[in-house]
Amino acid sequence: MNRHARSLIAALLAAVLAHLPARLLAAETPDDDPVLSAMRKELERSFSALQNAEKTPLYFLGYQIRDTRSYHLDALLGAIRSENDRRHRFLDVDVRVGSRKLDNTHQIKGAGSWLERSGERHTEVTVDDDGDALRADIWRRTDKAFKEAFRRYTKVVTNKAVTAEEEDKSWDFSEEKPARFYEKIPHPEVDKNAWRERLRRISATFKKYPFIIDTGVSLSVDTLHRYMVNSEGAEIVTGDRYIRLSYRISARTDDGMDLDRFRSYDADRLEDLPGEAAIIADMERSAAELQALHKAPLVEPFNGPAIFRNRATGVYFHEILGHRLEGHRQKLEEEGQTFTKKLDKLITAPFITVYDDPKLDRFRGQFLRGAYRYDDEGVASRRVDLILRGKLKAFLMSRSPIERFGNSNGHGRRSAGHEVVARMGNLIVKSRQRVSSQRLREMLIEEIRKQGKPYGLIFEDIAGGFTSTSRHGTQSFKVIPKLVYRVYPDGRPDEAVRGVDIVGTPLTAFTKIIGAGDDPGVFNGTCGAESGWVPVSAVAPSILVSEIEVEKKFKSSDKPPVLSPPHHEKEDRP
Amino acid sequence: MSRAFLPLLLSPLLLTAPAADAASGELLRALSDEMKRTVERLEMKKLDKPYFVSYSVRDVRRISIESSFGAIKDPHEYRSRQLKVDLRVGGRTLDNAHYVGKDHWSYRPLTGPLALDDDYDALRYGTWSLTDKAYKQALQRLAQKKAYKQDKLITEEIPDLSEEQAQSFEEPAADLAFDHALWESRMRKLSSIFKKYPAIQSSEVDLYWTQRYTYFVDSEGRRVIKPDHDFEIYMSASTQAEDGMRLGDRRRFISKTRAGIPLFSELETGALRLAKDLTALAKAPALDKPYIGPVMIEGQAAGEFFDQLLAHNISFPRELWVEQDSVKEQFHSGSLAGRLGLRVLSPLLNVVDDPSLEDAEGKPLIGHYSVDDEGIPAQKVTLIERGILKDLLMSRSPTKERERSNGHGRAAFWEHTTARISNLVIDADKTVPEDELKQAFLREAKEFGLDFGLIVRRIAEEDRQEKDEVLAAPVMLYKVDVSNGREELVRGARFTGVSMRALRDVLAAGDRRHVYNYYQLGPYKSSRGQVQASIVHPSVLLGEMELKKTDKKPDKLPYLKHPHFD
Repeated sequence: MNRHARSLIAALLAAVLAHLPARLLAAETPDDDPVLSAMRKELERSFSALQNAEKTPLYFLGYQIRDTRSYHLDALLGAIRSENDRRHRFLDVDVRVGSRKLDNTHQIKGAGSWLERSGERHTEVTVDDDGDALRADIWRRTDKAFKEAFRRYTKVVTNKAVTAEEEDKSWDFSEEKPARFYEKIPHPEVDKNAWRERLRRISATFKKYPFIIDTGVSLSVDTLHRYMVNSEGAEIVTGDRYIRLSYRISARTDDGMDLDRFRSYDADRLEDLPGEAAIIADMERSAAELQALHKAPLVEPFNGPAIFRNRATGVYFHEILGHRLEGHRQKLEEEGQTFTKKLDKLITAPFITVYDDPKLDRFRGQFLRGAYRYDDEGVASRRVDLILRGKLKAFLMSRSPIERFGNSNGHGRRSAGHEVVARMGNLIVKSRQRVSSQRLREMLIEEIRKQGKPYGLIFEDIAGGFTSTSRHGTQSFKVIPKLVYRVYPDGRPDEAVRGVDIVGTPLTAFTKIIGAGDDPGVFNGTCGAESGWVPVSAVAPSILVSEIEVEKKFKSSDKPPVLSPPHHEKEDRP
Repeated sequence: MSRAFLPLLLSPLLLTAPAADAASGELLRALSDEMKRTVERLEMKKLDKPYFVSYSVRDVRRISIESSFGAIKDPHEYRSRQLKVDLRVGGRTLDNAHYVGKDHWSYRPLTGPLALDDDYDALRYGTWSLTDKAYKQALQRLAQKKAYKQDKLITEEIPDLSEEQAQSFEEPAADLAFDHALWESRMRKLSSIFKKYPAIQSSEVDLYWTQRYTYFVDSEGRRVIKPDHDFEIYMSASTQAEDGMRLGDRRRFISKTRAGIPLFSELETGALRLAKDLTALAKAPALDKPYIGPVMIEGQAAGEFFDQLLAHNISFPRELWVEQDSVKEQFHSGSLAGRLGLRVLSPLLNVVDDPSLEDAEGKPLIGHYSVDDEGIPAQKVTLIERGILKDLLMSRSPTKERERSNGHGRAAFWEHTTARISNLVIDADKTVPEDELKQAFLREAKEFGLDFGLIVRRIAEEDRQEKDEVLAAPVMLYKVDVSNGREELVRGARFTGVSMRALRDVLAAGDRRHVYNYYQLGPYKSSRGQVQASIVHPSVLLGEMELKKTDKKPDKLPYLKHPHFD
């Protein structure tokens, strides 16, 4: 089939998909919702009976059920490799004994404190709307969580008595107005046959490249409903949809370095995914990039000026800045607390503003995965201005108060089985000074010349990284660039290079921003931290930094495959 | 569909013929072509070429329906096609197998997913990719193994791969039909049986339907296609006694053919029994003092007794070389292998292992198969005669005592193949009717000077053994008054000081042959799988065993009543 015919079919398919009627769910209300009603009944029974069952009162009880429906399809080189359609419901029970001032969730300090982190706490519950079965599961988990809370409370009280006084004497739990909200959304109707065919066609694109040693193209369609009730009277049901089409390719160099390119398209409606032709064009570009990387020279450790491309900037801010502005880190004594005492102080260029706004579900039409209406403690999400004109103004807050911030701003998040902590949603980076991409590049070259460097770098793509915020570690960061170009001041063409990681220390890194582009780009991803995996987004322009440090990257040392891929058999070396 | 066993030589022509099986055609062609290229051309400079390669593909359709208290949990259906590569470098006398390096946690074969579509290119690509990894790993393992051999001054030469005739087999496809809606409603019914038993704190009834076809090819010319289905209903329940002691049990119903799937009424009875047994256990007194004396082991308990003490030690005869002494115990080898010609069992008993048996006592045996996982035809082996060990179960991994396979090489997919039991048949030369067995037992107990003796009717499965145990705890244990034979259920006991010696201590055997279908656990902690197996056995009377109260601490009772019973 020729290219033209293919894209025509894609266009037709897109047209058909766009006209599928959205299936409406039977009009359920909070009052006749069987899941909510089972949760409510068991909550009332448990809270009233357990409140004063022991000397230390139970003062808060919260239930959360995450109901997920996930469809996943994966293809390689024109063939389906896996397909899955699953439904799950996970229950989390949050128990607080003691008082808002001091309860069982309080930090345990000193030697052995890491042993006191609570383990997995969630239970898989029935997917049937069966009140009896649901209540039986809730009862068992509540009993377990309640006993666990007492054990920990006893340790907290002793630990507080025998360890040094804490610097931040904030309470353990803030008071918030209980919210009520009810929303259900349908799981999209996926035409599985059409999608299988589509993924077969798309994934075959990579067949012609002999250097690709692993590849896949995936579609995932997830619908998540969160049911939350608590003893303060909150009653919330929210529905979110996450759709992602992605591809990945990897290659290995003769010196044993694994290289890969990955791209994802995120949406909350199937019809918003790009058409086949556009995806295939991107794939071809990624394959060309991988090929260039495969032949690219290694970079030696270097420091000098660099540009972060928009999406790479988003990842950079998320990893290095965002995580350090999570509220609970400002009071946990084992945390590095890089920015705790920097409120109202300049921490980055005065033209930079950063906020986190989970209420935003689109940026210029592009879906943002980090959007949500209520956080996992039932608090309505809201925009938080973190940095205004370079000055630190606030932290991301869950219901765990810290000095000067006594309340949640709707950023308490988790995935099933974890305790809630403050997390990012949609991190937005803005610049008051904006220049065109062309001008930003000129500024980079000027900076290279000014510093007398042989070249500068452009970080086109960053996959993520590690940022250690703990005092036990080095409190530095490392991010992993996936596509880097060397830019020469003498007009030679840019050159793809490989083999480096970006390293640095957070306080200095953000003072080196000297310019920004007018090209905001969206990064959609999933972020892992102590409260589990949560969907996030970052929106940022390209930025120019006067100095960045890169160091050699780890490599596996495995040789590339001895024989060529079978369908490139003829090209085998003799 | 006939379950006939059809040895046949597959010609390349036959393989591509869609009549045989369109799916297996493309798959086998991709596997064979990549194998040919591997054997002919896979070679790194100055290093060994592979001398043996085998590919096994498991093509699986699996449906799971888990249920509890009348409602469905995690309903799930998936298909997968997984490839396992066994690639050997060196030679038969010394290759990369049977050696556990410092990376002991990765002592498992290389496996990876293959395309579900019958797409030749994609299937070959996946095979190529995994083969390359297996080749590099094999080279490194062999080098490490040679160094180990030198360091440890090992001179004994036990070959790593036996020489066998190459034959090909195709067992006709026989799909395991499944009525989803019917079973979903049955699961709801079965799991709601527990709604009538307030003593039970949690319960579960799960169904796992697995339709599995295995495709096997090796570089010596073997080709095997065979169905390898599994249908399991798993029931479990738990509760606490008034003193907080936790009590739990599970029941399994396993079959591999349509005919073997139990009737719904049997399953209902099973669930009811579990509910009633646990309810009774919760009220039963704990075993208060240690016991030394004769023990009668009946039904399922005897099945577990023979599995954990006999099958576990007569399987896995090949010893591995383990680099780190500290992890040696995680790589079990059957200790009976070295005792050929010795008395290992009571002289009353004879044991054969016969994979060709399809049923016994009117019940299907799930340990049945025609060709093993290395493509070797299954053979009947006379293992023990009048207590004396006469022969061993063998895969293509030779031992000091035996060179050749007898078709017992099997494994869970992510395990290395080892020899293990199929249908282990234990018969006594002289039997006693089962009701007389109890009389004999009471006489023994009296002779021991005891007021009561102990009868065990259920023993927990092997995976529930505590760290220091070789036989898991009894679940259904009865005190029997020697004066009148009256029985009383007791809870919370465990065996102590059990060893293989107990096998020689069987004084008498009942006349009823019991069939125990179960999953035999693999020998290596790094990759412990389960393989279908059967034991046909009598109930037995043991001369002396020791039991005492469990050391496990009780847990606080729930604060509130179960909401359904409140």
